[in-house]
Amino acid sequence: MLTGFQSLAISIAVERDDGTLKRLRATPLPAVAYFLGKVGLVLVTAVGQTVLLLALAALAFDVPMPWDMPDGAGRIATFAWVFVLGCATGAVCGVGFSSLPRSGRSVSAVVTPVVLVLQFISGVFFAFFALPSWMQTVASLFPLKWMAQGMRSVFLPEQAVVLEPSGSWQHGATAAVLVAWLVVGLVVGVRTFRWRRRDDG
Amino acid sequence: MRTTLDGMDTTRGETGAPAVEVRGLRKRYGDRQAVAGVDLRVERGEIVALLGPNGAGKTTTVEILEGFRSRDAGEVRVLGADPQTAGRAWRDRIGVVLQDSRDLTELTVAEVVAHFAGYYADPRDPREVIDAVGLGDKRGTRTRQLSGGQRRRLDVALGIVGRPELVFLDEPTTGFDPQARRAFWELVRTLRDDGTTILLTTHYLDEAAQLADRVAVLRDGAVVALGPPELLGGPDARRPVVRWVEDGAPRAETTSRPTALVRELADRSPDGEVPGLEVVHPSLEDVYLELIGAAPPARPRTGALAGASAGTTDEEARP
Repeated sequence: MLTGFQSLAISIAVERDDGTLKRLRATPLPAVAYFLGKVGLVLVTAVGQTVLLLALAALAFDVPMPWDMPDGAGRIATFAWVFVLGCATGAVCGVGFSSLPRSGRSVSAVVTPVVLVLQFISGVFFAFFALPSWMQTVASLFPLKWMAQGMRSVFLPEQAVVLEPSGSWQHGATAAVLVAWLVVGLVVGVRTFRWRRRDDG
Repeated sequence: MRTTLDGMDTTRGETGAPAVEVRGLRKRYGDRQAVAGVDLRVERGEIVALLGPNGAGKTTTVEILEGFRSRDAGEVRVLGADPQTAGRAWRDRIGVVLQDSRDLTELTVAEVVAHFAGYYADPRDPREVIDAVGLGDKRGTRTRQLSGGQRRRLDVALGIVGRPELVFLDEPTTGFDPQARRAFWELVRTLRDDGTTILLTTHYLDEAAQLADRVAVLRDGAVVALGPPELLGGPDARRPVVRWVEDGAPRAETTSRPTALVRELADRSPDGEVPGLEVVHPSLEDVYLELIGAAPPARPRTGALAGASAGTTDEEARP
């Protein structure tokens, strides 16, 4: 899901910087096709990453997989919607964010810290319950915390729910926050998308 | 003030709407007026060169015509549509070769051209296009390994693969070696022979003279002259200069009747020979430099002798 954000924000900004977008703009290629291509890229990458990650987890670390659990079907369903919604939100926010860096060279420097800080405060590196509560509050504003929470509900045993600050998996809130970011990202992305560099008129 | 093209209509027996029609085009960046009232008309099947020094507004004008930039004022029709609002069907009919390119580095020449061909409704055969731009033996080469000139020819290939009716070439041969430029000119002529209209920007005079049916000279965002390269600047700018040496001093005179002047000089001379006699027609470069206000100061218009020796070496250096 972060893949979507990071790879799109970076690749679109780089393609804007080196003139790929400008060149495409001069062709009859519809903008929709360009973005569908990017979505395809994100999906393939995200699925590939997830498969590798799960394979490693299952084979090397003996992490129990959802389909081995008693309520496996429900967990897989949860996984599916969190995954799809998370990818979509990440991708759309990435498109929106790509207008921020001024040049292709500064993209990684602008995008990566955002991703790192989000990961840090959203409970990707550390157990979320162990973070200070103000940090939890801040993280709750961003989609990553909710994706992580959704994924915990898929892979952790049912009893782990007591470790959630709210005492539940909050699937409804997760969906709401992700959809909200999806819409915000879409609006921002559409309004700020440029085919050309800023210094190019 | 400015030469407009309306007077040229009758000379070209074209029917139908022109490929490009621009009236009173203006564009300002901050406090710099980049384009200050350009009028231009390009007929179908014609090669028109926009010529001018750096910063004269060539690229801005072309990018407005390509639909990349908005304009502040003026009327623009390109293939009958306003580039600002024209859609995909319109882009299918134009080809754009931008000024610089450093994108698409990882694919091979054949991959890139074939991929771009897929964007167009009725593309040319990618293999033929690659051969036409002289990259036939580079098909499998990744674009990042191409030389500057080869890279530029790939840009042209991408610009023409869609079988466009109108091609924009923005300084296409900058950085080419002389051989590559000749080959490129041949390519442009082939395109014209296929009926493609070409709008070219360049700051090479010989390129404009070689290729263009008509040249528009831009200076400070306005067209200061427009016409076939051999008629640019009008008859006055092309009056020949007669130089000779009289009483040990170099003399020069601009005249529309050089033969009469030479006869008169010969009659005046005791032995019928005029020392240091030469009749020089201003080159396109002289005319151009005068048009853009950068004429060398050492060019005497009538009878003066200032800087005659420097002028002479200049003339001798030219073919």
